[in-house]
Amino acid sequence: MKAWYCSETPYPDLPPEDAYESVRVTIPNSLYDPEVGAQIYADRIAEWCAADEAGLNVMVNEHHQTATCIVPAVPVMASALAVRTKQARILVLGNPIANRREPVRVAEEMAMIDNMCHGRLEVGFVRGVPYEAAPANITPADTTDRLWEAHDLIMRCWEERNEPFSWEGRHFSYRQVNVWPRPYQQPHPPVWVTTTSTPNADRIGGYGYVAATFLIGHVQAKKIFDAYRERRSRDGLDTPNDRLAYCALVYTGATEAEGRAGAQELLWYLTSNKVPIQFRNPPGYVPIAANVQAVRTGRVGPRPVGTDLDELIEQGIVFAGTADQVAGQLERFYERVGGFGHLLMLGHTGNMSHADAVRGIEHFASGVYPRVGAFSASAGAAA
Amino acid sequence: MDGFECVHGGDGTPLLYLHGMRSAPAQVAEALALLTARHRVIFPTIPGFGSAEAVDWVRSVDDVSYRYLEWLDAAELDRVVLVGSSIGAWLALEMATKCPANFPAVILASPLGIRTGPPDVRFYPDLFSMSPPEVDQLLWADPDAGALDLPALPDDELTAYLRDREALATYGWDPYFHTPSLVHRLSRISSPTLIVRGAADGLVAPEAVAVLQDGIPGSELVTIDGAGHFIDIEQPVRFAEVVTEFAANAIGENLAPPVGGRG
Repeated sequence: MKAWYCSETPYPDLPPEDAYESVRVTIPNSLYDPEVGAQIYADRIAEWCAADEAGLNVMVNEHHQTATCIVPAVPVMASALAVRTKQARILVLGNPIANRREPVRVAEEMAMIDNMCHGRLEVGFVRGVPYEAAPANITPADTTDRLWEAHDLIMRCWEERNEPFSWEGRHFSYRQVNVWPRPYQQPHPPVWVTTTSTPNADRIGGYGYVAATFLIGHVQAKKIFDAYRERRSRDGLDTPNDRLAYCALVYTGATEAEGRAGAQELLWYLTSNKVPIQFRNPPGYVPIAANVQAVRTGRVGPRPVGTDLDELIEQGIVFAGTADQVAGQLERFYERVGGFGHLLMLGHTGNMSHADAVRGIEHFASGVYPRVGAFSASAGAAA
Repeated sequence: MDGFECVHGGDGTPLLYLHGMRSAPAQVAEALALLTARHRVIFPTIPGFGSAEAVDWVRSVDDVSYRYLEWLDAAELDRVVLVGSSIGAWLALEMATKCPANFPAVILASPLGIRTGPPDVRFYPDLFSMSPPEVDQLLWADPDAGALDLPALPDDELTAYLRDREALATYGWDPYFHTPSLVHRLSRISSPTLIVRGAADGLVAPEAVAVLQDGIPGSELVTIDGAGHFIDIEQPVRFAEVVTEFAANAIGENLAPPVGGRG
């Protein structure tokens, strides 16, 4: 199993929640202090470098118009890590290609970064969260279609060798496409796609990409992974564990108290997301049937996960405690979901200090990481 | 015609009634009944709204207008009173600017569809960034009367309502509730044209209808009290009166109550 350390690079220095309408889309940027922000960037980059030195891989992402993540341009952060890290593979998870206006530019950015880090890049594609329909101004009902058209175009950019091609699709048009540089890894870096639904897991399985799912607990994660495995099985193919990825909040301490205290800090990620309904559920983002369900249940999307640490650990949304405990929790999760090959570990959020983030990384790397091989021996190599 | 889902009824000069943000005929049953007393009323559902299937290539109000013009041609309807509300008025503008001769009277209630002014000034407030109570406040003279009790709706009506919402966003997200070129071809509308504005409409401001009135030669404006954006739902009697009177004058018909009509 590979571990990937990540932070969303939040800006936690906010007034009480009732002082703003939404932490996303409309939160005034007068609340952002560049002096504080500059230090946040420096600290997070230092943590990714610490993860690299500890033998972990790193993961970066982007969000827009939000204090929960001040990386609105993931290739900028990925390129910083491409030159600052030495060994780690760098996962961009991901490029919100449904919302990007220029997929060819995404192909160029990723190819360039892959060269800058001598082929250590892994490229994720994501549809983007619903709150980003407004900032990106993309018709919500079009986003799934745009994701897959952009995907088709980007893959063609990387695979085309002979001559410029043209593309006049439903959403994107180009008259001469001829990407320089081409990726360092041939024909292209490993591809990841995120999913929260079984039909989408099936589709990703059809391509054989890594399917990644986030913070949904072992019950839902197994459904997603099973859908992927069933698709591969229908296609007459096996599913090596390295095709399946899961993201959780992870904090490993020297003591149980330290591990749990770190995890409590990470819960900021779950609790600091005040977003009004019009941004959480723009018309067309989820299917009509899901909206019928939302009216019937009074709730959009899955049931909230709560903030009880023991319950979150039980579900596999948080892995926390001593190295022994985290390894045990991971092993149990691994068995419950039928195996998986990538742990995306959100190890810093909110107000966690740089020193605490680095301690969590080091305890995981020295105490947990060497042991995951024992229960995930069947994990294959990355494609 | 395939994909042209509509209800219709009545006799007299044909009247094409293009729905607003809510597509269900039941929502405007009273207005429909009053109009049907004088006209052969055709009330189609825009593709993607209500129970009407979406059509893959129909992605804009401009696309819908060609579909409807094609349908009128096929039905040999070349002299039709054109009435639209909200997005339906936007569609009516698209149709009337393309084939002005086919529509002897054009009635635009709460009209969307155009835009002028500086890029950083909203021509229509951003409905999609407002909370549901804010939306109700903006769109209704009486928000309590207009708001639907969604959990109480049966599945088919709830589904149709949610499809209305999604279709509105799909046609109107970007460009926001307008066709950029439309404002530049308004002068093609040569028939008598009436613009109807609900006095409490927070979405279509007086300034917005003024732009329309300036652009359409000889167009008239009526403001209806006690109505917001959904004039045909909040003031159906007044709405039907205004429509039938204007249409009768435009096409030179006598407004004596028809036999059996509801007058």
